Amino acid sequence: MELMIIFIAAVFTHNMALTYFLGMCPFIAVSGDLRTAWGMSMAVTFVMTLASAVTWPLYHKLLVPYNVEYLQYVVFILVIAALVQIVEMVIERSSPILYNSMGVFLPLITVNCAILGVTLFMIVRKYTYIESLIYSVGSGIGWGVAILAMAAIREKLRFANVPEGLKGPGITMIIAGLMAMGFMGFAGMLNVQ
Amino acid sequence: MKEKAIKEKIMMVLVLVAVSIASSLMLAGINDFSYDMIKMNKERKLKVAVLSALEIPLGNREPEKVFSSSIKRITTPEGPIYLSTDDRQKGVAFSAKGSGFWGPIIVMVGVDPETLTIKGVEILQQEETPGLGARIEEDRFRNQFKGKSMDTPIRMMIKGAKPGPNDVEAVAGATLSSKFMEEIINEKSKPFIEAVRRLDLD
Amino acid sequence: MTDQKDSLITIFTRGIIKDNPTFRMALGICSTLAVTNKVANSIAMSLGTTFVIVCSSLSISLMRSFIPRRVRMPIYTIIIATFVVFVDIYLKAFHPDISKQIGPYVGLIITNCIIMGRAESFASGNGPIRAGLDALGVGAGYTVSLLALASIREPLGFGTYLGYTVLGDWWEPWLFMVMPPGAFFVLGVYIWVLRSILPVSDKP
Repeated sequence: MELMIIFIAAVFTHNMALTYFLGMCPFIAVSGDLRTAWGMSMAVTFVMTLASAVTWPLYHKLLVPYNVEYLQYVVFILVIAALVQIVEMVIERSSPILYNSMGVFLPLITVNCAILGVTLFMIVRKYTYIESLIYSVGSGIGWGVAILAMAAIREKLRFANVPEGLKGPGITMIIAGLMAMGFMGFAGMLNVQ
Repeated sequence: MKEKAIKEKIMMVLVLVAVSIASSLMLAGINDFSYDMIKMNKERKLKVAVLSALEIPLGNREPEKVFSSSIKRITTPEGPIYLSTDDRQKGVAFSAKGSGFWGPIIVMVGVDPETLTIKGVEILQQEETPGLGARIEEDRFRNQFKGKSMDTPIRMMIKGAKPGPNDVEAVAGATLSSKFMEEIINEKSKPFIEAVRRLDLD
Repeated sequence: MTDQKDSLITIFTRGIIKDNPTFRMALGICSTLAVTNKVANSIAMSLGTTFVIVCSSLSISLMRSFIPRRVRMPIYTIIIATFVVFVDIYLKAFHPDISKQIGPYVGLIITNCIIMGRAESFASGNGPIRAGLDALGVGAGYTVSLLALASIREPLGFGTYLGYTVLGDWWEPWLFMVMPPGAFFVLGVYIWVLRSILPVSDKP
């Protein structure tokens, strides 16, 4: 039950992109096209889960016992950077099409704050290992849901008559605002402890 | 050609290691320098909350000094209970945790051990909506709990309704946050009240 | 690549308006949106970020000839992370309240695309003076945009500015402004206005 709540909270009420504003750069840059958005959200979910699977034991079994918690940012970001490299290599070999369509954005996963954000939040909230895993999968899916919805909306908007200055990031922000309003409706439905 | 490649690799590793070591050393130095301060800051919030929930005036004194001279910490299976050793200000305080709208709410409740009336309520942690639920932190809301009895449930009342003796006016526009507060004060505090009774204070 | 003929003043000022990181390039938006519901938090965040941009740009620029190209990313990350921990420890030690409020977002300065962007595109190819000025300019631009957002959101949302009441009792706080959707809308409108005045050519 606890796990279920954590999962649903991560997907809906505490959505990484729309409530915490994390991973905004790719959220704007990659949401122009549904296919790329799909690849990006898969990659993010995957890296996110791996990242928390690795950083949790590092933090609780290594940094805390030796009293060097202040190194957490440095350690976490390095772990994430290394994981991204691995994922990049795997995707490059297994699916060149996906690799081509994501192009320069894959290395940008390193600076996707959603991933670092998940690892930091899981420490702040004192989750156990299992809870952290569930939380990161949920957060990845939540972020994916947000970017996929955004990409779908933007595809429909492609031929819409948007004011000149609002094209691109501007309209994306407004849509994100509307989506955030929708997601706010989920708040309060869970018993978050 | 090959030699050059190897040289390059060694250089890569060397630079990486050098930068990491330099970074860790610098951070270790800074951490040493600020460790005590950060620790004090972290504990200060709890100490101030305990003192204020027990209505022990601070005046111009350091909260740490007042805390160590007038508070005794007792560990119970339910959690820590803070006991005032000041005879004029008898009281026990404990922190009760419950669900909130966005995240957990942790409340420090100060109680008179004999009459079981509330001496003070302090919010230790909350992530409620700013401007709505977050107003449970405001004095106007918290001070209403003073003098209410923990024997009978405390009820939230809509603004304007005629409050009974054990009623508290809810935060306008934050029905759920108020409800969660009600639950924490009534239900989540119960085990602590039992623990206080068990302690048999004299 | 940057034009070597750019004067130092241009290097500094273009970060504020022409290449304003948030409004013009839509970079570093995560923190921009998250902390701007209070002016005080925005000031802390922008000072912290500026400090990190300047320090990391300077050190990367100084070390640029020693950094092997293939491992430059991890090295930049370590340097940036180090300065971020400085900021985090400083806030925890001297401003615990602000540290509590912006919490994990301080750590997320590391992943602020602006910093990595400056390191990669400017500091790695320019001398320390130019890199420092460029970083200062971008930091100033970031500060301006954070303040611009917060100066709308806090008064409308709480009726206060820096915690002082500026709109009287007659003002019913427009709470929507301090919640996530408000942040998106205000930023969207800012981008719109700025792009209408100064159109940007879409860079690759």
